[in-house]
Amino acid sequence: MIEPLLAAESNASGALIVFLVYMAGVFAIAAFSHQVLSKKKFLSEYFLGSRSLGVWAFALTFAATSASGGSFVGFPAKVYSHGWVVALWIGSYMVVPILVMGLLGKRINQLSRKTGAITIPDLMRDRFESPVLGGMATFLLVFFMTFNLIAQFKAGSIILQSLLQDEPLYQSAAMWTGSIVRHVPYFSGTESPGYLLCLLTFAIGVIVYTSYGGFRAVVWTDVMQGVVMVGGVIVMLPLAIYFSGGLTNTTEEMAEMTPPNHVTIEVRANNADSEPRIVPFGSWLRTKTADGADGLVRIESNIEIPADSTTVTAATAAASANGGSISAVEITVASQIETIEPIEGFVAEVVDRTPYAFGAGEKNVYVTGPGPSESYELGFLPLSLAVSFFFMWTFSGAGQPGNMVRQMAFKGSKTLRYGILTLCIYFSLIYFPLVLIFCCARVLLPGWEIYPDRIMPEIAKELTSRAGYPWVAGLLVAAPFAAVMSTVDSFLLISSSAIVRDIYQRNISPNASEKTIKRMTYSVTFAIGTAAMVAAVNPPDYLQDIIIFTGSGLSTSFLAPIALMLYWPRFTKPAAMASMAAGFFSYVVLYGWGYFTFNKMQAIQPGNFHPFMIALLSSLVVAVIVTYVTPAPVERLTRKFFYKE
Amino acid sequence: MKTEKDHPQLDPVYVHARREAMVILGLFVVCFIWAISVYYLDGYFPAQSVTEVHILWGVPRWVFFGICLPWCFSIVCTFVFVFGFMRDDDLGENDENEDEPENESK
Repeated sequence: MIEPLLAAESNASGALIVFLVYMAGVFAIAAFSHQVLSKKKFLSEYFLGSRSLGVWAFALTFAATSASGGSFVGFPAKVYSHGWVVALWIGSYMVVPILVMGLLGKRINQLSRKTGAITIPDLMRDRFESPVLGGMATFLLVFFMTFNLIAQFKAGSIILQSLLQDEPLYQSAAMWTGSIVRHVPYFSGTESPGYLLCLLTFAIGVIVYTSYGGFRAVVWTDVMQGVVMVGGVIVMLPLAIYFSGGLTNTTEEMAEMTPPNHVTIEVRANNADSEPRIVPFGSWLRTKTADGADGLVRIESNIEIPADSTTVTAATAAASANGGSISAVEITVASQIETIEPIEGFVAEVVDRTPYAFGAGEKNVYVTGPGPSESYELGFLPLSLAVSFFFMWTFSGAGQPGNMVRQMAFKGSKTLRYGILTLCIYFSLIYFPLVLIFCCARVLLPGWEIYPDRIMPEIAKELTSRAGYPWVAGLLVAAPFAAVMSTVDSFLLISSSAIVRDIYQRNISPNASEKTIKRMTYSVTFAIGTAAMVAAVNPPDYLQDIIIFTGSGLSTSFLAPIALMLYWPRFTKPAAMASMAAGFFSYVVLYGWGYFTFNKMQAIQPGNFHPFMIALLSSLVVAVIVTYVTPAPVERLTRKFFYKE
Repeated sequence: MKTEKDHPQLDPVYVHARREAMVILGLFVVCFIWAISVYYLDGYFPAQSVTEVHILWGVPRWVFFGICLPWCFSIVCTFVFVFGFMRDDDLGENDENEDEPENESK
């Protein structure tokens, strides 16, 4: 019944309806979880769902939490910009499921049941009977998670904006928001009223359902989000392959492609007009080269041609906030130059040209390694980075506290077994197909080097309108939104559990009544979320960099000590502390050093290896050395955790 | 009784989990070497221009042999691991006092 109704609307309304239905579903789940909460032991239910996750819940919450916005925004952009080599960049997802769940899962679950631990710091504290170690873990967790939450909130807002941007209702709401906050000191500094509106909608939604429903709500919304994500990929894959003329054709065309140039242009209109004119972002313009051949450029921002004038040069373009010059991307593929229709009435002239640092003018770079790169002379994926990323996705995933918490929560080892299998199939259905889809996107939609992060919504629109079901685009664009939401909710809960359990209940007020703990839990979850939301009103730049920084920073601090404390009886408390500190500091130093060298959030990469590798290695080495120079742990602990009772 | 206390037996869950972890790390190493070496031998051209690229089943040959094949291999191994190797162990009951701040007295 609803289908013809939606089909009659533009795809933008589809997006709004999908979004509303989706949010309604999320809140229904939260209400249900809240019901369950009142019947169970509060803390272990609120933070762990009473350790009762079944296969589907376990596998999908895992999948949804680890697939953040990056998987559906940044990753497609990478495939689009660098071609087939990204298949190797992401290739270790072939072993991620079995490694991330299977390496530590059984032991984490067993030990946390044995000790009654509810959080990761809890578990470390109990394993070594050391409140100091627990406190250290809590500090690191809260440190990284806070950064990450702010960045994720920003990502959520940006994605929601792109989902709703063509919606009239949204546009008027954004204007209304703008007029309200114009005079509020802190809020008026925000990026745009639209950003603020989406941030508030996104953040309040997440904060409310997470604090009201707890872990069970988070897990079941994750399940829903996981289904949305895989559904999006399964719909897009056959369409992308079909419309691009088959996979062989796609790869053959990609082999013929040469990377574009980044150029600065001057634009001339053929005739003057009494009204000022706007040439919109993404327009194609014809260029004349010195030898008279035709060229083609695509502009990276709106440009304005003033009234009674035919020329826009760098100087007048500056007035329309383009940073003093008109930037564009110049296509170098002959077949595309012939087939793409530029807009009539304007001619552009290239005044400055920056070719790719690797791959310029070369064919076959999009189908081989190291892949074309705008800025790195070694290419996108030199061998050392290929090695780094193969390690990083697997071991960084294994070291994520968000994943470890889920391993405390499954029902029994049978759930773990089937969970591994389900996750293996799930990731295989997502990651490799995404590579295929966005290779096809290179053929279907040339020139999105102007704004690679938009390739996902653009391809969704293109495929569904070609297929005759434009409203489905709303559903597809919901996938990245779902991905961010499912990451944020679990991080929010990890931060608040660290504070309530590890700081308040175990250190400040051990005798607090259940009622106090309850009130404390709700308000801390709510407060952390609100604080991160307010911080995200004027968010930091380098969004993706912060997410990567905090994500792998958590693993370098936690993976080695936790893996060793689960499997090595000789591992000692000082070694656990030293290992955690070594992982943390070496990682932060590499980034800090990089920050002062490059003046941006980029780490030093000794020998071209990712800082994750170096920090993880130092954490491991320090752990082993300190273990052997400190006395063996007391026998009671070894007995308790490694021997039959 | 006395001998058991002097020579306590390792917890079987620990023994199984350790063995399973070793197998998983082994699978990682195999996939890692497989994917990286195919990339190095057939897909990696840092210095010279590439004149010809072989395509197999719609994807570049190095992707087929270096990504698709080990990926399938890994899926098969995961099946075998889950159904034929990984043990079902009793991971213990929920602690009755887990909501309490100090519960390791058990």
